[in-house]
Amino acid sequence: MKRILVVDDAPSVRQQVAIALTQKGYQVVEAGDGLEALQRLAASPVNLIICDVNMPRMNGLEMIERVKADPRNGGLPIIMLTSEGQPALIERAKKAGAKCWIVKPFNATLLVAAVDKLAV
Amino acid sequence: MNDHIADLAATACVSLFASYGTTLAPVSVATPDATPSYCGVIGYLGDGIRGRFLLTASLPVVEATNPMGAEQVRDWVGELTNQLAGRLKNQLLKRGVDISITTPITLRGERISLESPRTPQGRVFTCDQGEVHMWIDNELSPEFVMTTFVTAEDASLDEGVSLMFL
Repeated sequence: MKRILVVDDAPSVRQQVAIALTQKGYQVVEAGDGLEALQRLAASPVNLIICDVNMPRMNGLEMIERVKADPRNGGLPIIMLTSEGQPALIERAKKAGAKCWIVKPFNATLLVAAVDKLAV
Repeated sequence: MNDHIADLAATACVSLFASYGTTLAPVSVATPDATPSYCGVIGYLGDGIRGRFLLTASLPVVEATNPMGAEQVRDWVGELTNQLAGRLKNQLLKRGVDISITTPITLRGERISLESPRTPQGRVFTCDQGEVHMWIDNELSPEFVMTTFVTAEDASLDEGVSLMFL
């Protein structure tokens, strides 16, 4: 079973994503900010990360830059799921190694399709 | 200019609720109502602009928009406010204004409104479940510049859109 790390400071969003993914057979691990996500990732590997941008303590862009700085995570796909649509932020995420950018509100079917396509 | 920004926020509010299946219609006067409201507050900051806005709604309205129904209502109000801020940010960006937004805080109370030394722009909407109130309060410095038209080259990604980098 593939493990997906869902990172968002809003528990309601994490829950919506988790329901969509578990219904399709994925195992979901949750984190409320970038720091917690790094701890979860260090504790156990995942097959894909879904990540918000604006979060307390450590935002999503800084988090994915730290994740991708570790060579062991070079092939780990990352989907950004955020209310932001600013080109500069999208470019930064792309440069850091993100594979997809989705602007909330999200369509569960499309999100699961993106996970199906990208999860390693 | 404040009116124009409030109009953008109001349009963003209507489209946000529509995306969660709730149709809002603007009304000129709020109904006196002591029903406890849930409220999200977000601040923002950019070149020549500093502001904040409040979004309040009663429990039935919040539950109607919440994909999780009656679960995690307070958190969902914060997320709704965050998504509204994101929509406003994207609209401002298309007009040459780049703002950063704070993470939301949520409140619960009665007759919540925004107090300010300025005159906040208040908007009231009605829907089948009740009313939604929005206040926006901007401090604009003289150097603040915003185009009244959309500049395509600065266009941000619209809500609900996904972009693959493959």
